[in-house]
Amino acid sequence: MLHSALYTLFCNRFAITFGVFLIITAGWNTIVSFNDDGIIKGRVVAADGKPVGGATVTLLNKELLVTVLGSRAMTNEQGQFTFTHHNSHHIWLQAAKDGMGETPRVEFRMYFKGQNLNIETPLSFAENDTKGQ
Amino acid sequence: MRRHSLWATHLLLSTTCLVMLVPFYWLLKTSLTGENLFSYPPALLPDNPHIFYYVDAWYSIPFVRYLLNSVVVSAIVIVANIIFNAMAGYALTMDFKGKRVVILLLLSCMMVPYQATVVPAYLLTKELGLLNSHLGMALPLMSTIVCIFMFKASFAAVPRSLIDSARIDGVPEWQIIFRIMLPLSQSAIATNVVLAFTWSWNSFLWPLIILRDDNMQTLPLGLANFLSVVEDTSGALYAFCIMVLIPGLVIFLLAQKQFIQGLTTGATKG
Repeated sequence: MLHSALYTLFCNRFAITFGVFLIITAGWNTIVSFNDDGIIKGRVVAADGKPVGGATVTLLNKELLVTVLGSRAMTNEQGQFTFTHHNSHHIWLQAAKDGMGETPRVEFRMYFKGQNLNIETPLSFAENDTKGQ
Repeated sequence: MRRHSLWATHLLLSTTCLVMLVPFYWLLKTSLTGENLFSYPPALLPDNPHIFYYVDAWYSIPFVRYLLNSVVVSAIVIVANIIFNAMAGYALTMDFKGKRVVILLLLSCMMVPYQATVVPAYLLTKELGLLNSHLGMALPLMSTIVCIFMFKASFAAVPRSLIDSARIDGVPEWQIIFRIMLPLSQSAIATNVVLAFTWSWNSFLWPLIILRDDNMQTLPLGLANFLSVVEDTSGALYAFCIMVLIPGLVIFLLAQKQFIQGLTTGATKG
């Protein structure tokens, strides 16, 4: 009797559809909760591929209509930089250093706010770029 | 010969379906690519599709808040519609003095444009203290004449002897409606649910008039606000349109069979 009632209650297309939706939502939120520390890691290199230390990397938050300044970070001797606690899903990154100019702005889009990002392709200064000097 | 004609019919129907679905496809494609609607020559297949416009739309407005408001209002409308319309439909299957006048009155009310009733409805809602509330948003849609007649047609198909025997057993009228008539009218209920949900989900003018608080806005109002900010044909706008469309589409597809049955129940009966 109970088995039959449970079968009727849960084995219909309404229950299955919304059940699947709930499972997907729960799964997605679990993934988000493990990956939303807002950490962005990357590297800055010169045109010849050598790491650039002491460069300033600017994070710009792209909102729907405007782009606003988020935060800045400095690269270490290995050219690595880290942003923590960013709270955006659409950003631009640009590096600058006296004497080397600026790298092109690179756009990054994420699936949720504060998504951790490990940037594989380094920000690269173009050869003979003297902008910003 | 017959097989040949069947193929031709299916081909024609499939082509018609495809033509009808083209605008939806274009909406979906634009939401995934963000390309300009008026670009020429138009690309049939999406070029480099991604879901980031959905992410933009999700974070640009308080989507969950608007969704919750829409769901709450729709739930109130659906429950109220089933209760009130079933009661009214049941009454109209009974014989009483002035029944024809009541039916005529209801039918004539259907001819009054909705916009003409907005001011009195607003004043009434204000007197009830329901402005800027979920209940106030649901109020004008809590009973609809079309659905009353749908229940009437469905209840008329139930054998009269069933009601008589219930009365002999001492079952009160309200229990006859909710424990005998409604379980036998599942397709009418499904049609009512789908129609009430669609009307409430798409309701724009009434919430626009009675709402003051941004947090109370529903999805159609959110869409209008979003449109006023994103005037160009951006992918985020179309992604938002798809997000607003999906719940209604899911409800319709789930209740499709009952919806069609409900619309045709009583079609050949008085």
